[in-house]
Amino acid sequence: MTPFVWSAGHIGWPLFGILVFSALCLLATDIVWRTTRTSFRKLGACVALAWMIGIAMALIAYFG
Amino acid sequence: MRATTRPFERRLLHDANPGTSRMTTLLVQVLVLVLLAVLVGIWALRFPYPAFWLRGFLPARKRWPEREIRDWLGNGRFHRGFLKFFNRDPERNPPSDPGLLAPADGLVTSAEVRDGIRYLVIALSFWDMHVQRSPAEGKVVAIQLSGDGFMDGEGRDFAFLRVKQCPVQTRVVLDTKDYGRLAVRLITSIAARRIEVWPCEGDMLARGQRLGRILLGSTVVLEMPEDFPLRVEIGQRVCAGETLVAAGASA
Repeated sequence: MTPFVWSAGHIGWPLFGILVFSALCLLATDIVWRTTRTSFRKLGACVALAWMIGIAMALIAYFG
Repeated sequence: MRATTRPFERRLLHDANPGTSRMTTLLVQVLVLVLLAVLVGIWALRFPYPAFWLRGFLPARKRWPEREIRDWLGNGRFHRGFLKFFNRDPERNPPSDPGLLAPADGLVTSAEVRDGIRYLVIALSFWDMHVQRSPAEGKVVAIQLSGDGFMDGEGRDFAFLRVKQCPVQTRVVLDTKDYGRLAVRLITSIAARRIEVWPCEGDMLARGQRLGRILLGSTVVLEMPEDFPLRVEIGQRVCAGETLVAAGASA
């Protein structure tokens, strides 16, 4: 199994980080969507961008 | 004296510590992921309504969205927090300026005049405080109940003025020293049909005193002489017992 998924007896940190980050992104988006008057498209675009940057950082930290 | 360890004990310690550490890490990871999965699961099941951990951070209208309240009206199972919020009864401080006070919290939707009487209609939303207050000091001369039949939607418009069957309502008639004969109509919805009026006929009410409560109701109408100058506009939000809605005829 690749160390990305499983390493040294526990879940690989990159995968763990991506899962936690994605879940938090989803919940935070919901809070922002409910508390502000941001348009759905604009919010979706911002979240998608933030999510991709987060994932890219996790991958860079792992492979870089 | 320095403790010595045998070779097999050293090997055991060497092997055991990383293993324990790995197990702890895995356990923490699994716990975190399970917790997040539960949160996301609850969020998904509750969507589009807010999950319970979110309610505390949201303003009332978003904490209990209208669609969700209408669902509760259908099945009769209300959120306990919403009921507590709905049944709130805060103190109010009537202003010292003379004039008629708003009998209810809500939005002024019309102020039509018919036969010399102005009907100031205040529409209450689910999130407004539902305790009504006396617009002026006076004596309760009559409490009239009417409209058991079907009503017009949620009663946001005064059905009486639209020549339709009246909704469930209670009319409290007040005889005031400064403003003459006034009346407050408490109009409820088809979903609730419950109105509480606390004073009895013959009771004296102070200005801004609690008058009654509409349970999940929708409209309160203040009847007053048409020559009283209005101090509120259509679309303005008013506060029961605090907002001056009209001045007396002499003002």
